[in-house]
Amino acid sequence: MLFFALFLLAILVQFLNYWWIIGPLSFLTAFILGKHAKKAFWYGFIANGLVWLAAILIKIHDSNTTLMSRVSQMFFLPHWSSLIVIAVLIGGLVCGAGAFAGYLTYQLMQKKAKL
Amino acid sequence: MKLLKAVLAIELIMGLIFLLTTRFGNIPPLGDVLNPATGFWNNAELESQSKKIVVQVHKTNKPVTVQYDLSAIPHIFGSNDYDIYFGQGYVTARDRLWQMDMQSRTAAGRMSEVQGEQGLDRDEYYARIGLLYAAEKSLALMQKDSTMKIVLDAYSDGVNAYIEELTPSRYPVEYKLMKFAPEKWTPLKSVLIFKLMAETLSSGANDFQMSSALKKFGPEMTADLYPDLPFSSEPIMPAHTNWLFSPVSLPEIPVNKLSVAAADLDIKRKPEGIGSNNWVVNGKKTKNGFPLLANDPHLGLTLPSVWYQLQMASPSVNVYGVSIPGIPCVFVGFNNHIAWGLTNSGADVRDWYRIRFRDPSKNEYWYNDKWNFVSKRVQKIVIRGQKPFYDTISYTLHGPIARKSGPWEKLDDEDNAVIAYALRWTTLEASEDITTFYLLNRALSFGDFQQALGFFCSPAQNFIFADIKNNIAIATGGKFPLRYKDQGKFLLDGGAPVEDWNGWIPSLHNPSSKNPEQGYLSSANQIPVDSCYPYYLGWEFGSSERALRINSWLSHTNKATVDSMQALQNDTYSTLSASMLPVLLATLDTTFGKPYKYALNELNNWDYHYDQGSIGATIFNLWWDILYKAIWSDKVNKRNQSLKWPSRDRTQRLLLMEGNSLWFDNSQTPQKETRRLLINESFVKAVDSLTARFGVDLVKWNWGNSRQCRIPHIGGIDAFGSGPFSAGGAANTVNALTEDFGPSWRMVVELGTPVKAYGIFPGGESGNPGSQFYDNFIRDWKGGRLQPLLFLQSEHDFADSARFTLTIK
Repeated sequence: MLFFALFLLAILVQFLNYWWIIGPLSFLTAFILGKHAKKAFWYGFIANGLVWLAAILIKIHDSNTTLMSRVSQMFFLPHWSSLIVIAVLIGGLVCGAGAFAGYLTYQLMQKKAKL
Repeated sequence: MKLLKAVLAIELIMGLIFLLTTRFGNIPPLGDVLNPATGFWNNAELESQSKKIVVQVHKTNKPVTVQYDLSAIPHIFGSNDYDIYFGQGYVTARDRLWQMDMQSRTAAGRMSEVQGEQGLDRDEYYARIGLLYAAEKSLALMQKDSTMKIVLDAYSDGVNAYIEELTPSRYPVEYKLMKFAPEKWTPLKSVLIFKLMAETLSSGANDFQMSSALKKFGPEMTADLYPDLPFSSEPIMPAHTNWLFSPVSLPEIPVNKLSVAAADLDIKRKPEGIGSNNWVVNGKKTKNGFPLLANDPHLGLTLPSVWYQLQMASPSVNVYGVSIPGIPCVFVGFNNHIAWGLTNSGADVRDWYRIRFRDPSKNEYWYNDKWNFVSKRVQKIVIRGQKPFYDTISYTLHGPIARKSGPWEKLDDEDNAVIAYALRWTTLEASEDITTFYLLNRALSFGDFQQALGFFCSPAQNFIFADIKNNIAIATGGKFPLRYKDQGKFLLDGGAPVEDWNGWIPSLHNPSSKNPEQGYLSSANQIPVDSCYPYYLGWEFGSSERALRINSWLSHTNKATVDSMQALQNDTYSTLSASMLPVLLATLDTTFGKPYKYALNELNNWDYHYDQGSIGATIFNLWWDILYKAIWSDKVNKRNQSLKWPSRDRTQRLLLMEGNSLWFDNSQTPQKETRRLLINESFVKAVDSLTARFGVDLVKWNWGNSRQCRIPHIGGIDAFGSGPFSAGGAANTVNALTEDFGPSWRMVVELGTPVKAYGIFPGGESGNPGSQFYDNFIRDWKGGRLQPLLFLQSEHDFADSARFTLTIK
């Protein structure tokens, strides 16, 4: 459930101008739907990582690689494909960390509510 | 524990987002750049391209049709002025928005706004030389003319129509790397970019160094080291031109001239040996019986390119050529009747006045025997991530105090006075330079050409002209102050009215030549006139080497063709080497062993061409450099002060005509150096240095290997530049390519019906480093090839073979 919700949100964010919104959104989603801290992180990581990977591949499938080569050179990377790896890691990390924090906050609130 | 975990996790996600969306120094915001929604992936150019694009802007009177040819050059067709300049603004922004933005910010002193503190020095420099104020005044003047108002407004509206279309994902990639957004374009920005170009071409000044030299050497020696007239030259206007006007009276030379030593000030100095070429031959000297016109302006080579090629046509104009991104009109080009080109003039249009302020408040300065108030302008410099900086610029009647404290302002020991320097410069005048290009684009005849030049102010240019009626001409365009001889060669006294600029040389008295008997005209930044010309224009012009070569070629040609003009543009023959090398070789001792013998052998067999594979070029070049420094360095390099180096031309005269001159002796050594000793020593040093750098295998010494060129990105991103690469040419050859400076546009126009033209620039039409049209011209440009320029007579001429058609409705 959490995974699919995050996955859907990650897709929606592709149509917005602020990519990092996925951070707070995954926080909220895991706050509501999260069941386990580690799982929340990995679901977030995989959901957004996959969406980023797919979105990048769709965007570049019909384009020449000149710009990617130049940007990878700018970051001192050996090949433009490493940019995709780094992008996917960034996307995964932000969504995963958001979900992780969301679930931990939920847990904390639970504890406080019980008290 | 749970609280701690949760807090840490929240901090982690917030920290991550902060890190990934923030630019640290030159490190771009990684998340912003790499995310798929708005990141750089969206800037990669698609392989497939739709054939028809329609944009709805509802601003133009009728639809504007833009045919993009196979090199992605736009050909704009519109029904009136507003529509075609709207189109020009739109297509230029589509290709070059970030570049235009950077240039206008630079001129306005607004780089810190996007760069942070590292842009501050540059901003202060531009704020203080007063480009913004000058642009405001010039815009106000141009807007009084209803036509120019339409042109400037339409261009601006076109740029804005494109900006309004953009979403962050489509911002040019540099915006994403620097993390800022395009802002609304204004006509002021266009004028600012023009003033920036004027600054690039006319901001060097050696007045301070010359005053120091005068103080050190005295008037006679100064005149000997830095002569007003070159030793070897052919002026731009044919010698002994009979000037038909009666000159207006000139100001008298003041009796008490200022003699001061200036500190070694941080001002831009006038560089030597760079510039541009243009020439024209009339129909008697060409194969097809019509004039041929050629132009290659030399500028700092950049990516995106300095120039943007385009055609613009409406019922009242049909013009093709190169424009400067951000400014309406075509700058160098042709229409169905005329062609024109530009080279920079070295005329002195920039003087420095020494100002004495009453006290450190610097509110009053001494002029005309009384204290006068300055007027102040406060310029706000916004600094990204910091509080803004307010810079107060004081204007004297001469101009702005163009540099802030430091060595520029010092307390006079005698009283409480403060000394500073004010800048008088034609670029700071309210001017209508863009009008010149508007009129040139439409010119039908020499009369129209002359009328257009009447509006030109700065930077002073040599405009070359040809028309289909077999007229050829060249004229120096610009406003030139009426001055006494050598006024402005040294610092001027800002307190003495006799040192003021006294009005202007009437523009019809500017140097010009039309249809001379010789059948050709040319300019290569050299001195424009000989001593028959009645006005003083300056003393320091480009050296003559390129001009001599071009004139010698043109005088011998009788059947010139586009190919021969192209060959001349690519010519690497060095007249400097041809005149100096035999003399240097004759002075060498004869007892050299290896590797000197091999080097000598190369020099003896060298054809004086700076070709890529030439070994002689490398050896001579270094030998000359070392010899030049050996002669002058002890005279000009002092602990606290560096004086102006005497010119190459002066050095040639010394070596050829003044063998026993005392200038050869290095005053810092006990022994007496002679011409022979310096020539021999510098040869040995040159060969030793090349052996140390490349080894004993002389093949590796070739010019292409020893001198590498590159075309840097204007934002300093190496990966977006081009090179290093090997190429022929040198500063003193017609093909004046140096490391990152040289022919920024080569054009040859064959007048006739129809007019045919060829051109190339080192870059491409697109400013997007991801586009195949970003650097696609470089290969041909390096190879010295020109491309035929597609000059359409109607939008339907090639609609089917266009790469794509853009319709702006």
